[in-house]
Amino acid sequence: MDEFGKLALRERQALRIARRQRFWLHFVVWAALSAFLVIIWALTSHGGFPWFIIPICAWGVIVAAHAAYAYLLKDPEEILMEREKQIEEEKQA
Amino acid sequence: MTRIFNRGELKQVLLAIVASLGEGHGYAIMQELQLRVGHDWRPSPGAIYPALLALEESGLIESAEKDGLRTYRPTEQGRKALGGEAAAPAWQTLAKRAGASKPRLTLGRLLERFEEQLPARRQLVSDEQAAAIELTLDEAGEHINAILEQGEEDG
Repeated sequence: MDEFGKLALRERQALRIARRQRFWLHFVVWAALSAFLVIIWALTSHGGFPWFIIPICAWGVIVAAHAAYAYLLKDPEEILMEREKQIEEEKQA
Repeated sequence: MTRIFNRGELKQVLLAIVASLGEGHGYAIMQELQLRVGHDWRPSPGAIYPALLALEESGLIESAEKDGLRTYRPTEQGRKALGGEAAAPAWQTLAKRAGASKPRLTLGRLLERFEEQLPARRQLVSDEQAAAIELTLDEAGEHINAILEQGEEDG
């Protein structure tokens, strides 16, 4: 991999880090608002129907999808770059 | 890099550039792409390098290491794939998209930029200097108004 390739690899890695950071920001907002909803329920419902479960779960599905996008899914470009990096490492070994 | 390519377009464009250069390394290809699209649009190695890898995997271009740089050249199959006018990339369309994706400036932003770039903006001034500067700014303001009015008439 030449200098241009290394620059591309660094750029792709930065994009991946940014994608993961955005997921954690999303997660923190979800967790904070979930806690807020539970507190509101505890203060107002006096043990009644736990309605907070509905918004927490609905949004939770979106958070889970975001986690999959940030950590599991890969663009075709990312797959190509990883394969290239692997070939490079095998050459050096 | 602002996205101006539809699916598969970047590869087609890169193949056309590699074919026109005959042989070129990543930086040269990126520079050529930037020149052809214009509008201060900036391509990124993170998009171009994987597209070159994909072209190489599909056998449309081939690469060789030369002086620490990887140079690319089209294969016979690549030339054939590019052959014909229909396969040629629409540079004008790409330039148009790049122009449309460029954020438009406001007068306020231009004035802020001017202030940010003025090295002496925190310097104290005497009354005479203040009067002279205000006069200059008034003149500049009149010029700016004239330019804006002319723009409204034109379009």
